[in-house]
Amino acid sequence: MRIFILSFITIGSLCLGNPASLAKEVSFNYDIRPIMSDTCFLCHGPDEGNREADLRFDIREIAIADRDGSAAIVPGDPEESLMIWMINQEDEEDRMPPKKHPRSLMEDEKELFRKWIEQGAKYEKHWSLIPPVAKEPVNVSNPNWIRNSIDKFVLRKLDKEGLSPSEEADRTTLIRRVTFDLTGLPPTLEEIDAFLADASVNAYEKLVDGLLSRIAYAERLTNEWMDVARFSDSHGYSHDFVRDMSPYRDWVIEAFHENMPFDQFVQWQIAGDLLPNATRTQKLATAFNRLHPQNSEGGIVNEEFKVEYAAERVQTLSAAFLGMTIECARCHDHKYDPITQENFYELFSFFNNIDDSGQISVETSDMPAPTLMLPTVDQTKNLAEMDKGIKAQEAEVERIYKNSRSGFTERKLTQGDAMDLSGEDALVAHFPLVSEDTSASIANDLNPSAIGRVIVDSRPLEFFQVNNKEGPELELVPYEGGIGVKVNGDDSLYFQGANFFRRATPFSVGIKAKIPESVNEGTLIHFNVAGILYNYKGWEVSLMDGHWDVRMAHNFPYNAIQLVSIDPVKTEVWQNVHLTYDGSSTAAGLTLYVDGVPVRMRVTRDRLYKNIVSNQERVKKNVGLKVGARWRSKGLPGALVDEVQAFDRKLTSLEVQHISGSEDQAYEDDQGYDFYLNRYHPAYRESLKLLVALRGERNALNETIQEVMVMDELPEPQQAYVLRRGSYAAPIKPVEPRTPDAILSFPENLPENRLGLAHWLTDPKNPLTARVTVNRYWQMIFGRGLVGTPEDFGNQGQLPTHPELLDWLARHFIDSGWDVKEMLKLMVSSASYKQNSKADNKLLEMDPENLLLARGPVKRQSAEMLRDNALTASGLLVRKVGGKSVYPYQPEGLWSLSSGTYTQGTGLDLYRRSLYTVWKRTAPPPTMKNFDAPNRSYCVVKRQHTASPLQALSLMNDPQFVEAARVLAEQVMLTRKGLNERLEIAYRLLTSRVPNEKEMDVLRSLLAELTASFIQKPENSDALLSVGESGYDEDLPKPILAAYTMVVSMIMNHDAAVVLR
Amino acid sequence: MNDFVEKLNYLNRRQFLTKSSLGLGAAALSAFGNPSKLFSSTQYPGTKGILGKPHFAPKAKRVVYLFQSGGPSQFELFDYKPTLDKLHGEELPDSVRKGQRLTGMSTNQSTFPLVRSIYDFQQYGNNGAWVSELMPHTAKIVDELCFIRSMNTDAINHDPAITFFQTGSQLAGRPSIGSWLDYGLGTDNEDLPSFVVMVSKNGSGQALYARLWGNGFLSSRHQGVQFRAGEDPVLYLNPPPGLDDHDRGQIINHLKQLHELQYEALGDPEIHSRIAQYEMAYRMQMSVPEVTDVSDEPESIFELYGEDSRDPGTYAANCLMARRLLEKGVKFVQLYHQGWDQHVNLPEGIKKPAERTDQASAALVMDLKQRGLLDDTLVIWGGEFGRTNYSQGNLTPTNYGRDHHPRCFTLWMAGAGVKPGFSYGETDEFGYNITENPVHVHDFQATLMHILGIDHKRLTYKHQGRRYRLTDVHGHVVKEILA
Repeated sequence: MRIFILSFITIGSLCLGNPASLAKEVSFNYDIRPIMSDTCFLCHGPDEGNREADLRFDIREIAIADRDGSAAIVPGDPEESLMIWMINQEDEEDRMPPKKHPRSLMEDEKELFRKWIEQGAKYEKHWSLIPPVAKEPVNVSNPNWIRNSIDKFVLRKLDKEGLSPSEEADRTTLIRRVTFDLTGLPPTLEEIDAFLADASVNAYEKLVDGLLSRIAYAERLTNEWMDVARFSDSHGYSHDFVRDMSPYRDWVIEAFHENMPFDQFVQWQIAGDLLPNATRTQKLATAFNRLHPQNSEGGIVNEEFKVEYAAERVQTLSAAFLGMTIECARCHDHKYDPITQENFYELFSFFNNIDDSGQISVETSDMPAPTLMLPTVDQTKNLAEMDKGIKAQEAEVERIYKNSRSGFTERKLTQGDAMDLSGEDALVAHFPLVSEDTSASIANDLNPSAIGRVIVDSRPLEFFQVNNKEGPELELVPYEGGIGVKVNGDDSLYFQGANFFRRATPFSVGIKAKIPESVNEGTLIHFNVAGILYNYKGWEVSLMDGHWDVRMAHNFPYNAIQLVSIDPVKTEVWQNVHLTYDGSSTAAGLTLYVDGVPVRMRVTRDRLYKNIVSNQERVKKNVGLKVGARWRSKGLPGALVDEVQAFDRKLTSLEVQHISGSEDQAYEDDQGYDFYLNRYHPAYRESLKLLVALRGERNALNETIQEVMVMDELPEPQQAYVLRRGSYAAPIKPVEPRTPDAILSFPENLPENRLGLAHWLTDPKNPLTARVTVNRYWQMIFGRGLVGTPEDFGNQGQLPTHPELLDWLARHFIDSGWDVKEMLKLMVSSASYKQNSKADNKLLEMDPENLLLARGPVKRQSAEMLRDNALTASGLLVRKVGGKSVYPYQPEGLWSLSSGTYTQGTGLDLYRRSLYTVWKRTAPPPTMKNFDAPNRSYCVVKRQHTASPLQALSLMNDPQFVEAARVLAEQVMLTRKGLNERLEIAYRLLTSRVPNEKEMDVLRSLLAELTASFIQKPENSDALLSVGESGYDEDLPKPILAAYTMVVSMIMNHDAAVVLR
Repeated sequence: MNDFVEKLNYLNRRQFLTKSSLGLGAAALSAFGNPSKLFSSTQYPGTKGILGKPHFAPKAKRVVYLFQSGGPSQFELFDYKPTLDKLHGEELPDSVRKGQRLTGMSTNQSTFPLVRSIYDFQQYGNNGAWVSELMPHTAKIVDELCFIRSMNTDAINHDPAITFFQTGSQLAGRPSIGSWLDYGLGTDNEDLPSFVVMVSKNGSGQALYARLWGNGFLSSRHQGVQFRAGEDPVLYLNPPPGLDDHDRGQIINHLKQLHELQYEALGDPEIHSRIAQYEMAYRMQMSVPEVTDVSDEPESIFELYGEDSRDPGTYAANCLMARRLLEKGVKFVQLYHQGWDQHVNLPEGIKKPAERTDQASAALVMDLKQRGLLDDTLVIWGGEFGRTNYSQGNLTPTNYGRDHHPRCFTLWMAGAGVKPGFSYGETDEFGYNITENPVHVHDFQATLMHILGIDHKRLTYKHQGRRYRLTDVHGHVVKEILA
């Protein structure tokens, strides 16, 4: 524990001069609250559930309240204050904080408490919750040093500490620093030379403006944002299938490139879909809320994970924009900050209103809904043309329908009643269920080779190559209508041959069934592999809550049709059940009949926009028609079934009535006409077929369109509840969308939805969003935030090193219209930033972390920068922007832990910027991981900075770096003459600077050693040069090229290449 | 040569490395025979644990955790239930289930027939521990084992359950056990990672994830390092093809010279960390092949671990590798074997993982024992949850399945700190609920840390304003099983 206390004190002392010096006034915010938070609040803080002795120290009124004649705090009188008494108890058992508390009070901290009470025990609102006010310092020691307002704040602090700023860094260092900081890439030699030669006063400004206008700048900012947005290319749980969300990433690039105001950038991501007349791009931006991990594991409970996802969105919101650890309040009131559990679920309720399914489909190509289709320009055009064609064909169908009455009349006159209502022209499978049937063979009247059978547990046999054919015998039950089969609810009748059901294809199915009173939920007949496991892809006729439930789904619930009967299902009687479908992908195209009468249905979902069968051949082949039970779903145990039929067109109501055994109707009415057209009118039948073909084509094209996860609000918000201990199964009380008053009360005029929330976030009065954002950018530029805990601006977070500067920047950011480029330009243009980063021993000792900014920043390059630096220096880097993620070099077998295989890319894909490298959450790219790239499973606003031997191994041996070294070596050998020039250029390309003589000695010495070695062992150079896909000039002397390669590799590993100074 | 000595003296003078440190130089590089000895004591920052020394005297110095991924069925392995023999095929009584949650995989079944183990049980050892015929080798060593039959967990599905066991939370993002130990205790061998992970190549089934041995919010140097079968046991360990050890040494030596020059110019102590970082990488490059080369193992050892142990990457080979790593002072070796997830076809399906793990697990215990290592090494065998006493899917005379069951399952430990030949905790006659001495995952974690000399409540890391620990806000040391 000691280590934490010490580090706290260090920061404190640097912020405030010397807090232990008790001569001056003790500050509640800077001296007292941090200690209270760390030692008292656990039991005497905001968390009601954990509160001891009914005492809390975070609210003054309670702390000073009389408690049986005395008070915990008596302002002005430490001796009378119970608190002082308790913290000074001799006996460890009696002393506060109690022994079990993770941290105890130090003597000087106790003294601070005493002094503070003596001075009146004044409370202040927590610093980060007071809206920032811009107060620029006026008097500083050295006005000549000042480049912009930032420097005044920095210098004032240095003045206080008796320090002076460092000299400006040399120009090479500067251009390298600023180019990496703003673009993530090194400057080219030409850029360096041009900058060195530019004597104009605004040379640096021109440089910065140029950098900010590059697309590489947008990529750099996007790379940072990807950590915040937890962007990845895979779902994250369990099998962790890969899915492509690159359009969101590319939108972020575009937004930064165009310098979209940050408040708008936030609004679009939080609630773009709710903006008036939301554009496709605004909707796309809301993918931000959907990038959290999602689980396809069979057996999870939907609601559990729906809750998990909504809670995750709150967590991301709070870390990314508010710098608060609001998720602590998921299970109980926050222990340190003024956030109640209710506050958490009020925020939660903003994110709880999408029609998603907690358990996502194991169908690997299914994007978890809600989704947005993103057709390309060409696709849009083609779709529009196809839609036109479909419309025209629908009109044609309609035209024939309107104009063929005469044929009907004529036919009636000539043929009388001789009309075939059996539907036999369309019958494609018929399982009459006869006494000869067994569980291994159920006869098909139409096609003896396409028999049905029983599958145990309803799990398709071939599907998992599981040999579990053993199962109960078919239970044949004679009844007045013949012989039926009693299903057990677990093992379905399976008709693999009946597998023609597609979204554009009209069909009808029929079954006779007697449903026992004992069941009110379960599937009767269906065409799915499974239920939730595949998100109900296919169609089904089921019972739900005693009512008929008809579904047709690509991905239930969002991308699906669902109809529920208004009346309950009749039980204990035989009934003929038919479902007909017209191929229109609409609820109107589905009709459920019972005993020939259409069932009155309520449409609960009507949004089917993708296929209803799997794209995987293996799954598609096995899906088939199933009766009585479904894999891992509820079936209808005890139901009797008979006469299973499938038809390849939509039967007319007359036919359904006939097949159901009802009295045949006369033909005069529209029903008869409808039947006539569908059964006997060649032109009508032809026109329907053509319509099916056109729809089929459109649907096929539709399947190829990029689809992304987005937010789409349900028409009726779902009621959210406070959940006991955060558990989905334990709702306590309903809550409405609201924001924590402690931060900023929700303005009356805002809508109580995500759009209102987005405006609340970016409200100029919100004390956190701007501060948190500028702090993160400060961290990006200076290596450390003004608040060292960018994720926590609360009581347990660190205090700002330069509070007034942070406030000024936040205010300035808001006033500038949330202008990110301007903000970054301001930072990199400050004299503070441009300082030399070198520190003497005194300064190192006094301020090892450079909290005072008496020198310039030092940062190890990020994982992405290291690779991009090597690729740029060697000329391998491919400057293509955006698109699907790519698969550069990676050792084999890493993905086999979960699922999928890593198929390494070829050619240009190997050399894209690192932000485009595919990111599988369960097996991230190892070199990136070694260099502290986060897992991308949750929002990260600050990367770790570690050094490990694995980093050295990566940088020395990862083929990506070895290849880049070889290509760079080849380049200098081909384009430069003489060893010195070659070494110097290679060194410059990687480090931006010219090596000094001593360094050249080292380079030459290694080159000589290695050349000798490779000449001795020529086979070694062959092997080394073969690393990587790109070829090399074989006319070059191989041992020498090999030696140069390894010298270049060494430079890549050199501090001068790796660390930005 | 002189240059090298001079450099060393210079370094020592500057006290950037510890007194006994040896930089890398020409002399060192000429002695590749046993480089790990030569460079063994360079202080690499971060090799010491945050605790400095344990909270109290540890019973174990190192741990090998044989994780049986998928949820091995306690009914077919260790938890003998004669009642199920009698009630085989009968419906699980509601009085036993008590309306508790089942997974989405079997909750929709029409029936929940109880199912007995198709495999026979017998009693073994001095205390008559029941073990099934699937585990003949384990049966022979029961006097070494401490069974916990009353393990229970909060999670009911693989991903959350395994994440919970390995990190103390069902959600991704917390440090794993091995990372906590490295953070707390540091390493006993600076040439090898202190936390090594191996995944059997001859298992298959539920997914595993790098985050199971991830560092979470701790420094990434505490992450587990995966050793893989084959020529590149640690990712990027080997120099590129064509670069021999001598040349690699030369490069590191020259790189160090560049770094020294850089230090002279800039005075940033971080540069010396970089030097140490490269030296340790080099030592790893030397030490890992040494430890992974099993050609010096006698025939009798391969026989002990079983035929598979000759095939690198199998569970058995990994057990043998684990022993070699433990011998070298690696603190935490984590093995994973996938393949215990028998929702259907359990009778056939469970044979494979049993066959592939039984002999080697037992062999590892006995091998450690014969080397005296079991005295200060803790061995753990177990999965993420148990399985149901009812059949998932169709029950036939020869076939059945079992779904996930978090409410009770069996785990065993052996070696340092735990009572040998001991059994703790009881389940009811249905094997559904615990009747005596439940051990929750957090209790298990607390106990594990206790055996290593750590008070689980006092090894914490402050992150996002809160002090986190492996056991979250829970966990009790199970004193009864401690030796």
